[in-house]
Amino acid sequence: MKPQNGSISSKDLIFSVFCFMQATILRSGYIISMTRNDSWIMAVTGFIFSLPIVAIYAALLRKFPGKNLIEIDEIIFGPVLGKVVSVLYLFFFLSLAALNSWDLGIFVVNFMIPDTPISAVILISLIGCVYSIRKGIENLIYLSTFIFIVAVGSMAINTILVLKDVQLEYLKPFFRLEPMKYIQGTVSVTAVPMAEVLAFTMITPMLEKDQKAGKPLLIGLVLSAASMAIVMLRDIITLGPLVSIVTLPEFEAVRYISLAEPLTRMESIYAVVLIVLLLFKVTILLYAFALGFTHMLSREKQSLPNHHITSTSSGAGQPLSQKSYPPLTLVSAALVFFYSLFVFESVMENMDWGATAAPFFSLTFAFLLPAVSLLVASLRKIDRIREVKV
Amino acid sequence: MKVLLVIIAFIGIAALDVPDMAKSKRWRDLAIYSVIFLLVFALGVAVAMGVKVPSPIKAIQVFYRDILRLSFKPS
Repeated sequence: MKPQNGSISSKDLIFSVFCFMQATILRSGYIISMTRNDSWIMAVTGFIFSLPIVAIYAALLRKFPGKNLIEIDEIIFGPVLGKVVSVLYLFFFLSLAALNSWDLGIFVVNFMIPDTPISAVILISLIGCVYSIRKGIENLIYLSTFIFIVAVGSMAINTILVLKDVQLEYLKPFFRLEPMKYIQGTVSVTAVPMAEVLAFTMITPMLEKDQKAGKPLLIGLVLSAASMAIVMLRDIITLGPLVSIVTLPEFEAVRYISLAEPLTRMESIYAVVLIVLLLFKVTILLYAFALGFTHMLSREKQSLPNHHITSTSSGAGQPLSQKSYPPLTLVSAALVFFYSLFVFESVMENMDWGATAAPFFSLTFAFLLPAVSLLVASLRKIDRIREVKV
Repeated sequence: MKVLLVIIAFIGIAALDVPDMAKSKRWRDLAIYSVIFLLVFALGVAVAMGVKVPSPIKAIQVFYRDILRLSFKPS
């Protein structure tokens, strides 16, 4: 299975990156618990430190146009070592998919439909993700423009409506924490939300001809960092000292909105937007995992076995449509489902993971491995041209 | 009951995935698919039976924190 080239535009990719990153806003509670009223600055510093990471992805994708991360590994490291590196990336995508599925499940159970089994929520969500992958990931990418408008609109309206409850003095005192806290916050923002855009290196081969992946990834990150800073700022000046105590500051801040009788419980609308964003993110991660898994197990290097061809029309002479979904999608979704059921036992375990080891785990896969790949490719002078000659 | 649901779900997955591979006689793909399918199925049955499966994330956390000494202190 190989994604169809030319299926998505740079604009689609920008909005996809934004929607993908915006979903992580749910997990920014642990950043606020570290850096408290200075957290909004972490969105800026985290973005600055994510620039070299995006530059590495852009350089790799420029060296190997039309190739995804798993194919690039096999070219750089050879068939055996390349598969080992690919397994590591796949484990990263699988873990991210399971962690985000768990986040989605626990959010719905805790804030929307209490007493519902988390397994039911995750199962229904993953069925939705599989459905969208089977209908063509490019369709979901096109839809990101609409999701972007809804997400930004919701964020803007909520921010405007909560303005009457804000107190700017909650921002003070500035920079009073230990320097280590700022390092921790910056590394966490860089590693956990920003560097997860690595998943898009599985999708960039679908970009229209002659379109580079680096610029849309960067613009998507700029928009996401700006949005993250605004949301954190809003939460801090709305919640004050409470911001570092509550588990989901973004959600709690929106609960303050109460303009008149019909305009209360705005958090329900916000919750729906967050669920859509999380579904979007899980779908991208599941697709990256299933596609990588399929590529890795494929014998052929250039094209993989399942260009699943189905007839969409019974009429003679009608073209066949190529459904470019990875054949292992359903099994991969089942694996994500079971993994998400035992990944954490409580919200506290999740918070502890996010604040302690998660940044280093993410940096290993999202920074170290791609950096080593780029270094090896440069030292061995491997690029797409040479690969074709061989 | 949970095990039965897992079995039904996996029959459904096989019914959706296998016919295409069998029709186009991609036996190698089918063999690889079967191995992965059985592994995931075994995991599913274990989870459904209430077997305590250790979380890889917790193992990774211990690895980074206690072996590599790469971990932030919790706030």
